[in-house]
Amino acid sequence: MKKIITAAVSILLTFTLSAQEGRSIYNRYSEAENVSAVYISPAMFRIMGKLPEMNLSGNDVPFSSIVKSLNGFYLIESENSSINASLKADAEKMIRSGRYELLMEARDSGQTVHIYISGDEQTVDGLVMFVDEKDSVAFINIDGNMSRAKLEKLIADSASDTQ
Amino acid sequence: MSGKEFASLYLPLSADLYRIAYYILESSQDAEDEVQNLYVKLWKSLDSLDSVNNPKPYCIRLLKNQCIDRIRKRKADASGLVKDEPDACDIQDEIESRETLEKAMALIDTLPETKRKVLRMHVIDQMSYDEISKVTGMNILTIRVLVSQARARIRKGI
Amino acid sequence: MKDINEIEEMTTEALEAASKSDTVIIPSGLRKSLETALIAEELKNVQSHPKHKPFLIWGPALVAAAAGLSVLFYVANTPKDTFSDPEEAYAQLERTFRYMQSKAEMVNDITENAFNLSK
Repeated sequence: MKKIITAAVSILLTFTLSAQEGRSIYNRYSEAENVSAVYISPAMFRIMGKLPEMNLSGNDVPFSSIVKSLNGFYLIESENSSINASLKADAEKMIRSGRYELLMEARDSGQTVHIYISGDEQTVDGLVMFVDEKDSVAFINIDGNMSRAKLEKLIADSASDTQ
Repeated sequence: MSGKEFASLYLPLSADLYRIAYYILESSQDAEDEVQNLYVKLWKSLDSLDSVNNPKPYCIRLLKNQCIDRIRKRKADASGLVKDEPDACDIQDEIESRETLEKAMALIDTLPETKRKVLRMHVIDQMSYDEISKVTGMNILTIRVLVSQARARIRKGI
Repeated sequence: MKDINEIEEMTTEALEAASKSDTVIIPSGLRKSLETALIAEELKNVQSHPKHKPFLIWGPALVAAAAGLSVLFYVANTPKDTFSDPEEAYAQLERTFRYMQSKAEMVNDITENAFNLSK
């Protein structure tokens, strides 16, 4: 009985802590000056999952299938130089928590891009993207139960197809 | 009446109405305030404007009454006497509504010109996202997000 | 400032004539400030969102108490949805994925350039 209780508490606390990572960053920075912030809740994703297939831009990129597998979405775009460094540090701390592996990284013209994912070979349960440009940073965190193959295809598909 | 019709029938009257307000109030700031108040009042009652046959005389009458109210209020404030005291709650509501509007305006003024242009097209001209996209060349999704974020920012700011 | 009685006696025709005066300078930002006022009036009138109400699940067991505390902590720290319209939320997601694709394209370009340079 004691083992069951301990395991249950651990699982619940782990769930709470991991769900906290993106949320705590969002809560800390979303109200700051010159910051754009977007949060989409699990409830909103459930509603979105019930909508008819949407293809807003007339493109055939399979967004709908990915959207239905998502639980949470946090986006912070900051042009506030006084918080950019601490936002970056918090994002790096989140990455170092051990769940995430680097999917891709690039540095070009004063801009660095990192995309990290967590999960296993089949499924991605978390994605973090961090873009550090000269005067602005962007932090994106997506939680869900995404097909790894579909997600990698979606991200890696040439951007020229989408313009 | 649609926003587009309002923009084409009423907004072009602004210069003439300003001259009238200035003629009455003899102050550029007061004139600008009253013209702004008039337009906000008209906007709030868009539906009733369909029955107005001649916009300019209609606006002139409203503006004249507004200016008279302004002068009366200023005299009452200056003398400390209040002849016909409106309900205290109405005054408070009016003050809060004005303050809220001014805060919202200040937030919109901080936006870059391109974003203001999009908001104008969406709110006043009541253009669809598709139409705005065709005119500006901006992506429809960007336009949707811009409007949502402006609304959210104003909501947070006030 | 004119006298109230004088103003009350002004006819609409007289005021219309006054509107044609060349001597009054119209503020350069008048039209813009009017448009801003209308946009502000429109956008500030939004529905208020219901506040999140925390709920507690109490029970005699330690697991139930830990679950209740975890949920309470979770709900109390949950932010509000940015969008009330699911279509707009969907549009934001699509925009974000396009943004991610454009950054990934940057990775592809760098890799291809490096490959070409090494030939």
